[in-house]
Amino acid sequence: MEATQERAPAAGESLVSVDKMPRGLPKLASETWTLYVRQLKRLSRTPTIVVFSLIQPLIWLVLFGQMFSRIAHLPNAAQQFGGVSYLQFFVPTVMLQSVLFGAGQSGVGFIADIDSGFLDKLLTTPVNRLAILLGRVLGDLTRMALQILLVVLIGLAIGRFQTPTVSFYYGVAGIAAAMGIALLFALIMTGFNVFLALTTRNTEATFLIGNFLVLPLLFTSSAQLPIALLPVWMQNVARANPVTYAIDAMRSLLNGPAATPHHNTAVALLQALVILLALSAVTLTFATRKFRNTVA
Amino acid sequence: MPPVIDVVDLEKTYPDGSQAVRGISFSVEEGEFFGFLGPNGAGKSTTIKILITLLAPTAGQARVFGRDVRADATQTRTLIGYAAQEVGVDDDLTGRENLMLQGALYHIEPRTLRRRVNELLELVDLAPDADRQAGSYSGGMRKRLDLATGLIHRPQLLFLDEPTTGLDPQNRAGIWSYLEDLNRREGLTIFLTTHYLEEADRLCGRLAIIDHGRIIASGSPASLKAELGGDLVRLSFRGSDEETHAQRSRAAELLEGRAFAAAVRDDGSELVVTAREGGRALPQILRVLDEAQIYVDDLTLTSPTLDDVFLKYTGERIREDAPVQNWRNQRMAGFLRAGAGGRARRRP
Ligand SMILES: Nc1ncnc2c1ncn2[C@@H]1O[C@H](COP(=O)(O)OP(=O)(O)O)[C@@H](O)[C@H]1O
Ligand SMILES: [Mg+2]
Repeated sequence: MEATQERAPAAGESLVSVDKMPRGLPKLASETWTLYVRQLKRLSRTPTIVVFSLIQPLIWLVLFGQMFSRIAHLPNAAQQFGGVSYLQFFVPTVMLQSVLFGAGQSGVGFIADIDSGFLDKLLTTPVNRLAILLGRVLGDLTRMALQILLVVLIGLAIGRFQTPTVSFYYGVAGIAAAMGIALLFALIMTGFNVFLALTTRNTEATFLIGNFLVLPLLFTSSAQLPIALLPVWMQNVARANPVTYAIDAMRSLLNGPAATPHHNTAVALLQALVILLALSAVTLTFATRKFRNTVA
Repeated sequence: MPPVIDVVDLEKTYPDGSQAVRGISFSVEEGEFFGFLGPNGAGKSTTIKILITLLAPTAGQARVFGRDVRADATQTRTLIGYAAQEVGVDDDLTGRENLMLQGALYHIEPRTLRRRVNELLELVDLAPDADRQAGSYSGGMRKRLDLATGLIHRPQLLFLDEPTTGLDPQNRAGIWSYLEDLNRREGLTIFLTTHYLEEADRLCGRLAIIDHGRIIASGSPASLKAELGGDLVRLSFRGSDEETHAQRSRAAELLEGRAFAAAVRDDGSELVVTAREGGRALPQILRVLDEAQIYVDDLTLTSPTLDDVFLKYTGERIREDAPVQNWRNQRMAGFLRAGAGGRARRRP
């Protein structure tokens, strides 16, 4: 402290002073906001992401929605599907799929910042290191929130051209809650991908490992079919798969209690919350630790 | 007043066991333009990263403005600016946005910041392109933007890691004049690393030559070169290999021990005469050889360069054109071009 005061700065008066800077939480919040806005700007300037997040769910919903449209009406299956069309049944799956694949971007973006030297540039400022992680994660969550909102809207739009039309049981509140569950899953995957990225420091490896895990995760869950319609061995795997719980909760929030094995939205929601919160705590802890080591 | 940079017995061994810095000590005073000259892999970037608080040393002390860089990292960060070997700009943001972002992280008051951003955009000649995305900039423009972001908070000490690597000669000269201005007019203390001899020679008031993690010589460029004992006169002769060899040996015998020739050496293709004052020695050399009817085919007079200094201490030359090792972005290496760092060549 004294040293700066004694010293008459030669290169013009410095524009920063530790004494005038905010401290603690306000400092963290302001820096997180700055870096969050950066992410949003980047997002708005990368049209490929916007186009891609529109086209991908469209293809899934149209293709799968049509391909399996008759399953949901088979005599023994209708009840398992909760009495809704396969398209409607499939909407939460596509939502979750979007975040499972979308979270890979977080890791890749981190590596890009490291490689370009931009991260070092940030680190030479007095920025709170956590703000760098938070700004990115919040930015990515925003992107994914928009993506899954788009899935819901596309589902509704396609649903207008078929009978029964797609209609959500709890309305807007249900949609919001289902999005919340999907975003909680997004948080888990973001944590995982950031950890992966900082460990491998390699875009290709992060992409490969990340996507390699996503498909089995999706296909050994109730994502494609109600759990009761899976072979028994796979039912057991599915019950150990967090995707099942997220999907079941989202289904009951969107399609009503009849859409889940328990026929109870509250139970499905609670189960999902406990499991997903615990998992996100784990992956975020790993990601934060790895990040702290990286920037230390 | 403590020196601006004070480094004592600094060491850095990376987790994989590579000893990047092996006990270096140096200090830099306020207002100096100080340089690290060394080939790729010498430990320049590692030293800078320790000084800017991004890397923990394995042993030794690094102080900036009298404070241990690690002990008081936040304080250190407010005082220093940095422009890396890689160009750390966000290509999706405009030039102005890059500067505003960096400034916001220093918590510069918004009005002051806007003024400072305009000032810097003018300084680095980017004002007309300020609102274009940096991704559309040329290499030279991105480097200038990068330099400006490092100056956003008016640092009291600027660290530049190979600031012109990969730039063409014209852009390089442009960056040089910005840096000279900053140092001379604004009195900014600058620490620069480079593997370009010409850059070190032109910019640095004082430099340390670094190789394999050790400082092998230091001083002003002029004093380092003076240590070599004078200018070099290189003579070559006409004829077959045997003939030229014979002429070199004869000429060496004739010139050795003369007052004007401090040393005579046959390097296998040329006869190299070291002379305290090359210009004066030249006619005398020619007269001696003429009298003995040995005719010189080609002759060059060179003043010693920093490369010769490097050669003297390491027995090797600095390879300016060696690909730059970049630990973070191996892809960069391929397209980084090396520039010319000429040796002075005067013909009589
Ligand atoms: N992150 C790292 N991990 C392991 N070794 C490294 C790392 N960074 C640099 N090195 C090694 O340390 C030495 C010095 O590297 P560096 O400081 O980048 O040199 P310079 O900047 O002078 O080219 C080199 O031998 C390099 O291979
Ligand atoms: Mg380097």
